[in-house]
Amino acid sequence: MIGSADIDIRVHPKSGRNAVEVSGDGTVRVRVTAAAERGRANEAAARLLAKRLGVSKSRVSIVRGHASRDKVVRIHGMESGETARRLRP
Amino acid sequence: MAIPSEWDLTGKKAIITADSRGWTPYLAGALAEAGADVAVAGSEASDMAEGVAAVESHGRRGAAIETDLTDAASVEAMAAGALGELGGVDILVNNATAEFGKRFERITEDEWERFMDFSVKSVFLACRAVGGLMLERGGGRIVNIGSALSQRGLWNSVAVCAAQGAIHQMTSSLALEWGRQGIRVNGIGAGWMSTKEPSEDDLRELLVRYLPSRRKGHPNDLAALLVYLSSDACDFVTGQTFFIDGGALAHA
Repeated sequence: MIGSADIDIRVHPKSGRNAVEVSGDGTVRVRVTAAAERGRANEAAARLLAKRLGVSKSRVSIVRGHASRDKVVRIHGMESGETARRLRP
Repeated sequence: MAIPSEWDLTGKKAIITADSRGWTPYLAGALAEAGADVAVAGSEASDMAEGVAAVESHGRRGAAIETDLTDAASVEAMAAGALGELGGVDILVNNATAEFGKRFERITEDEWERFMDFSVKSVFLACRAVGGLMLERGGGRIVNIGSALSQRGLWNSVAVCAAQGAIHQMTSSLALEWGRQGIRVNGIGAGWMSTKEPSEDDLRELLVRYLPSRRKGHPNDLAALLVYLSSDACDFVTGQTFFIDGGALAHA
């Protein structure tokens, strides 16, 4: 969708800590302590990603893979390229 | 902003395309502060109204012209409307842009076309329509607001980088074609910018730590160069894009 950025992420629920990690091949791993039940891991992952990107939670939405570890997350209203840049300076 | 008398834009008429990043009020405001009347062209969803308000706050004439920047007829009508409203056109600032990030293999044909239409075709249409008026009067200034992504690649951003490269080269080539008709075409390549007040937290941000400037830019950082590139003083400079990026491109 024009006017937003889609990021592929892999969510690791029930992790020892909350963290966003970006590896060399561009894989974004979001580790959350929450368990994958009743949308808690999704909620935590979106919140963590919003914090890392410095945007409000309302600008982050999961567009694909609600029930999967691999998800596509949409970030609304960031300047061109900045989403990618912020995840990997 | 203190403006050297050679850069004075009093009596000049400008058109700026509006975007949704919130830069238009600062850029249109800078032109107005230097003395220009400014028409702001864009969609209802853009920051067109804020741009006009900024112009009027400097006591200059501002006009909002609702325009579909991807549609030739709409852009032609906008150029004619601005000419009628302001009584001339001396300056065109192509500022509109859109965000689009996606893994390359997932970009659909429709998304690619719509993004390129909004980013690149819109610049072509505005230059053709407004430049046509400049050719008739024998001169003018065009400033394309681009980004440092015309020079660097970035993951998840192939379409954005390709569009920026196109705008960069359009700037050089058009400067050659219209040089003898007194039209100067230059670009400003913006680095990582924000319209928010910097906070203590920002200083810890990885992106800010990476920048030699140790801060992100603000549209006001582009203002003085925009005024210069729009002025009569900018006569021997054309086809260039100047990067205002806090040193980002100086990195290897």
